Amino acid sequence: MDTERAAPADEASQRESMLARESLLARGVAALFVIALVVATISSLVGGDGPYG
Amino acid sequence: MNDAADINDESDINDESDINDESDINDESDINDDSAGDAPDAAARFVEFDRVAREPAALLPLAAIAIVAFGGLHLIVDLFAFSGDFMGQLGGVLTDSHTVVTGVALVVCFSALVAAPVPSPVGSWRVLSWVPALRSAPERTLHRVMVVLLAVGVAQTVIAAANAYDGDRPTAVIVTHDLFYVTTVAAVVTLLIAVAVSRSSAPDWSRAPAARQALAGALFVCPALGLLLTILWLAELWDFDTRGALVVGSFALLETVVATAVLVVANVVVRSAYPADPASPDRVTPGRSVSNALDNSGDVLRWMVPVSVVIGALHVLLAVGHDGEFSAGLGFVAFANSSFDVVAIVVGVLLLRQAGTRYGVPNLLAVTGAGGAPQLDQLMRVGVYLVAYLGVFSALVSAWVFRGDAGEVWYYFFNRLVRTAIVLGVLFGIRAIHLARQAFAGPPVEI
Repeated sequence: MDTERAAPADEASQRESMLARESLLARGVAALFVIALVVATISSLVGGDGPYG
Repeated sequence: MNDAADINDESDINDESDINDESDINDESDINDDSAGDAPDAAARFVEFDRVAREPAALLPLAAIAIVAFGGLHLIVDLFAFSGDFMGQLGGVLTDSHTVVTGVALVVCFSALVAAPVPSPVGSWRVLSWVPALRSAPERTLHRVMVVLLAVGVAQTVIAAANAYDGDRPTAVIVTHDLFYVTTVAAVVTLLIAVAVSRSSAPDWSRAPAARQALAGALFVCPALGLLLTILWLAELWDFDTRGALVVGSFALLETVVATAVLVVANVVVRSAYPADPASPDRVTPGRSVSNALDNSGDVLRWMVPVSVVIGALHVLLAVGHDGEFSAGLGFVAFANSSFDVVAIVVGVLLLRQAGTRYGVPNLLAVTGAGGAPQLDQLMRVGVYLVAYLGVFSALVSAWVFRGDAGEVWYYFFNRLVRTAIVLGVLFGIRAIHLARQAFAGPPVEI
């Protein structure tokens, strides 16, 4: 009986943990995107010839 | 980008009020023995599907929005940031348009495919509620998507052939390259449409012979074009940039291998989904036969993983720090792009393999054995994020390396982002299909 109750609880706990981990990963992607956007803006404003000269 | 905490909110797009009347529980539920003609069981399985497959399915419209947004910005940059002759610009715009149309077509087809096998007790094509045209006339809309895709692809190839470009690469390489991509993409979309249509509650068999012939032809044409492209790249670059030739050639070979394997699977699946004689009383129920065909395709998918990993690793190793003629001093960009491409392909192949087997087929990866599926599931979740990171990273690297030239910066920035969005859309789609099948197939069997 206890085992039956524990299994769903364990599954729910694992799912919570997985969602928390994925939330962190998603925030990381969003942060990297913002950094990339800033880098692209700066790159388009600075002077230079680009790699092709 | 895909905040998991928002997943439940996002999935509200699947408004039950949008469900159309095409439901036929008995037809749809033939996907699985256990569910055939058993409405309460179908209802239980639908709830299970709703639980597990909703997350990636709900991300499909987000991928479509990202593809259209980044693709639109990419095209604007393409049109206004570069000066050149009309034909050259037209060729560039058509090539980039084909990329965007391909992405949208794939996401729409995956949406149809995810929705179609659902033996919903209240209606089919449920997940499609985010595309009104698919809701009202799914099959006609899917075929229109195909027509647009082919039209843009053919126009792209014709203009590429008409353009001599600037003489950097011979026209033969460009045209072969375009033909390979256009044909392969068309074949893949044909497969997705065929399976989606065959699983609808009122399948339209009128296009079955054409789809079967198209895919059978593509099975020979696409690998031939891929091999030709590999040889042309090697011949073109070998004399003055041997390593560059190997970088490009190995990637063309990798794409050829993957395209071949996908088309083998496509032929198996479509021959089952679109029977030669739909009127025959011996015809296997479409949903059921597609399921079996996917199981059988495990043998093909098994060798895709090691072969694609070996060629992909070779490709990335060759691209590391390569500053040859091809990459024009852009070794880091080439490495970032190659890593993204290879990881995306490998994750896609793994997902496809995961979706293409039912755990009864012995798996290459031990973790997919009995009780091991959750580990692979988690691996795939991480793999999707890895692809997202590498895609955005390659956009960042491209933007930095091209600094000083605003047109090039934004062109390559959006180019990498639209490719990332397309790949993520495909991965979400494959994953959603896998989860849907898993929900209906029951627990993994002991190997």
